Amino acid sequence: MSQEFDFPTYLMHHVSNSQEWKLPFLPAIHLPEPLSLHGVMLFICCGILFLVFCVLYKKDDRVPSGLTNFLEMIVLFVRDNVAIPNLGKEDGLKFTPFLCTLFFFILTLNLMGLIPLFSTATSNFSVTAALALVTFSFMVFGAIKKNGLKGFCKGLAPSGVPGFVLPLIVIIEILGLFIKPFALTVRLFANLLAGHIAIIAILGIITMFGAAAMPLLSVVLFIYGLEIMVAFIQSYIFTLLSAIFIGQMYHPEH
Amino acid sequence: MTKTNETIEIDPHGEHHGKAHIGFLQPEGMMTLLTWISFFLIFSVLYKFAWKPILAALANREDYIKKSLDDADKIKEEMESLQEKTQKMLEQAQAESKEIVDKARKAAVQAASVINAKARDDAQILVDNARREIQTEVEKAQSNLREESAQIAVELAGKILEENLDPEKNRKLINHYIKEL
Repeated sequence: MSQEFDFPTYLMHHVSNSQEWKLPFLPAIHLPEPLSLHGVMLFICCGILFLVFCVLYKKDDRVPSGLTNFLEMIVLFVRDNVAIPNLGKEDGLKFTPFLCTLFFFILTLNLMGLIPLFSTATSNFSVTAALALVTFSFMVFGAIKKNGLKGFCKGLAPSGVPGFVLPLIVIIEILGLFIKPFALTVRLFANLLAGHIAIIAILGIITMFGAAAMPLLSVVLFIYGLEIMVAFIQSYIFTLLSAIFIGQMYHPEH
Repeated sequence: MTKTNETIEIDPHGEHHGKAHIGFLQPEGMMTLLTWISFFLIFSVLYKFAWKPILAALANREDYIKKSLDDADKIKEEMESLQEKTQKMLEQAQAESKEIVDKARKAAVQAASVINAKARDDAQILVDNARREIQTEVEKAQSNLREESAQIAVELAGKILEENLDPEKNRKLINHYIKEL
């Protein structure tokens, strides 16, 4: 570290991906090349999801309770309020596993970011882009598989539009096809990143000004609470918008 | 440390490793790949071990609840029709019993009147018989009395004749015999 404390650099470093996992009182763990801090978070998230759904979730309960009940509520919500209304009954049921995985994967990554020692993989542009690309591939290849190439192209050129506007519409539709996943990417990553930057920035004020700035801790706690809400809301929005975008491509007539 | 005005690039450890400049908007191919790998890994695991059984269980439970509710409705309907039937049967039984009672009462009244009439007839016969018997007894008694009084009169006359006394004595004698009588 240099003599003067360069806070913006420290802040950016805090929210960025790196090759090191810093633990308190222990030497930082240096991660080998294909892995990085956020990559490790992804696999820890997989472990948590496996633990929660394959070990803790009691599938044999006739009347579920506790954690099983809570998770079941979310699964039912994804099925009945996200998948089926946007994709129709048949496709909705087919897409429920994918949307459930998407929701819980993002939610777990978001919440992990709020636990000390862990880092937020969803505040990494590449991670959210990768997830949005999965949605995008369903929007394009899934739709082509379902409606055929002709049906897919027809979906981009809606009927009932006067001829001279048609080229414009087609351009807008094609642009929209790419903007939608891009919006998904930026929304999730920016929301998660912003929350963390806000928290570390205010904590930075406290470290700079000392005890006088201690009341700001309440603001940090408030933002932390907000972050928990954002973690749920953003994973819900990502899932819902994925369902809506895929639904639009699957059923272009609507 | 390198820092430009356009993008914020971080090099926290200077020359420690080559890939130290990470702008956080800069796409990282490896991270994208890792995301896909982890996402599809957990998706395939959860699909097999979680979503399939969970969603099937949910659908089963929904069917079960629906079926239970339908059954409950059906049973309720059956109960209602059964109740109606029993009500009808009860009413019918009541009407029948009323009819039977009415019939029995009528028969009883009839029988009573018949018995009454017969009793009256019997009584009449008895009374008639008694009256007739009394009549004959009275007649018999009268004739007996008549015979006996004649006898007595004859005997008295004989005694009077036997005495042949004066009228004073006669009177005395008659009175005496009358008293004796």
